[in-house]
Amino acid sequence: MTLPSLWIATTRGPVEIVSITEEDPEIRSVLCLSDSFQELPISPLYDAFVRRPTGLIEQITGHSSYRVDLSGPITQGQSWQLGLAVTHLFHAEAQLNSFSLPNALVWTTGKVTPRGIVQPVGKIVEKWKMTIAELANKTTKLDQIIVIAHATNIAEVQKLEPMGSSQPKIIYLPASSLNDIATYFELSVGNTLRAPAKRSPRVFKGYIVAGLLGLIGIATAMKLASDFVMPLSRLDTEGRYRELFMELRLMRQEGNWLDVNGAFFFQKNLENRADRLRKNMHVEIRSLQGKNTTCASHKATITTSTLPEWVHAACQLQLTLGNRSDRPIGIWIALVSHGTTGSPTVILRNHAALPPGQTVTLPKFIMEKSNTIKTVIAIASIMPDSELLSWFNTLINDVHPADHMISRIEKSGSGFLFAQATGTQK
Amino acid sequence: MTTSSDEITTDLDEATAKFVALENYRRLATSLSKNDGTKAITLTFQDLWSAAIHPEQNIDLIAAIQRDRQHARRFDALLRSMAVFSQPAQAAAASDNMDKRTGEQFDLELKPSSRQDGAYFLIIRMHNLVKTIPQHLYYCHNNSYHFLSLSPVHNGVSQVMVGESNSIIDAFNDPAAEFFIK
Repeated sequence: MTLPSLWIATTRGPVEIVSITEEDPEIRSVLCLSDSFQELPISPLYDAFVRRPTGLIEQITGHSSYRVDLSGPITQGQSWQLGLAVTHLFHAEAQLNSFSLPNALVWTTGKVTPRGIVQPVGKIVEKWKMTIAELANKTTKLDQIIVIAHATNIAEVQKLEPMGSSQPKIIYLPASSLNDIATYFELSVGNTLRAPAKRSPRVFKGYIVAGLLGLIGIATAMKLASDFVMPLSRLDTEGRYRELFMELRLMRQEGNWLDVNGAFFFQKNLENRADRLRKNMHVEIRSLQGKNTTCASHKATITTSTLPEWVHAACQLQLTLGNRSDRPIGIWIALVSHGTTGSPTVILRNHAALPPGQTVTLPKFIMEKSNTIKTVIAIASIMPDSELLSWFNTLINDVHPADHMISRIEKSGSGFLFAQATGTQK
Repeated sequence: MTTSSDEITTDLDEATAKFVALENYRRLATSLSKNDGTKAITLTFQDLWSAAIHPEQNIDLIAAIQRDRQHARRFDALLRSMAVFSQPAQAAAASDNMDKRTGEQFDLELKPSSRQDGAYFLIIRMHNLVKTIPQHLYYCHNNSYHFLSLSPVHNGVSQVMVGESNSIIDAFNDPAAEFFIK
């Protein structure tokens, strides 16, 4: 079997394909110098170019290992890919049918992607000049030179070699894919090249199986998530926070990777909800101007942990609650006076169930003039608040609520507001 | 002896000493030039180390080492200590030629090229990965060490192309040969 003469253009002169041999598939494909048994360092790249899954050649020929003997070394770059791909096309064709190009020389340069797309390469001028020099030394008679490269590179060669002026005749074959080359030479292996583009029923079957597996995967993930979230959501929805905390703690301490991370994200979700409720809960306190001239009209929205000092004045005060969220919330609010000794005095303790965007003004009350600490505590929740209420009652009796109590409320997903005005003597 | 003040003065003893030194140097140089390699040479550990690390650049040195029994023994000990993987001598095979040598740490397989031009592919399959990149396959055959540079290891497999005249072909078929990788 004699293959057409094929040159791979390099900047150090063209390299000719001397022979191509199919090897045992256990052997990695090699490029070697002819008759020297000297393997070229780029052989691993050639093996990757041949062998599946990255390799293109095995897709075309069905064989995974070759030894190609070259007339000279190729040390770097990827422009050898087109020449070797064409060699494999010719070799595969020659095995099936008689194929030859008498008195012709095939000149190649270009990269080839794993899908058989030909890409342009650089240094065409240098490569072509080296080729011309080598052609001058060639003793055998050539009728034609077939230049195969990407259209961009063909144009570069044509600038150097005007049409019709050279001997032997140059035929330019601009190739955007290996398909173009197979079509030009009428190679039967071209059918193999076109096959992947059409996507055979086998490929579609593969897609369907992959799709089904994907759906099963998603369904399984949703089921797992559902099984995992449902019990926690139920405890949250029913306001059973103690059990919820216990469940989350158990998951964190004794659960698997999924439990630990799930517990973490569920807890984060509750904390974010608490933060949103805190921002959407509007609490306003007003001092009403009365007959007593010492009482002026004041208004303050409670956003920080500090109440205005005028709450200590013996004036008529009024609280207004608002819901700025897009869902109904329930607000428990209390205004408490803590003296230095004895039990606290609850001046106001109220609950309001507010639809979205609604505001309610609570009854007026008169604050006694005293140096005691005045505290406003409010809890906003979208869930049943039976457990929250007991925590609320504990909080209003304590002038300095414990951090863990505040943390517990926030971790339950409830908005919490706490503001104080220390004594007027301060 | 009286001389003018700008001439160099040398007494007889000093001249004799210089003559003896020159004569010794000439004899030593003659002796070294006539050395046929069978006489003992002095080598430092650094020489042995260089030969082991860069065998391609120290072919003559390795030949000299292996001519001297004492140096060869030191070199053997050094190479064995440097081995990352080793494959001891095989149990005697029934057939003359083996196509595979198996070991606990790596296997060797020798496949002739389908072109039948005397080329062979030596496939080295390592069973474990190492942190350092293996550089050489070397073997002890007939009390002499030989080295082959390894190609890049991919998935624990390296491959070397050799001609039929390469000494590794004989070593591969000799059950007594020992192979190492470093």
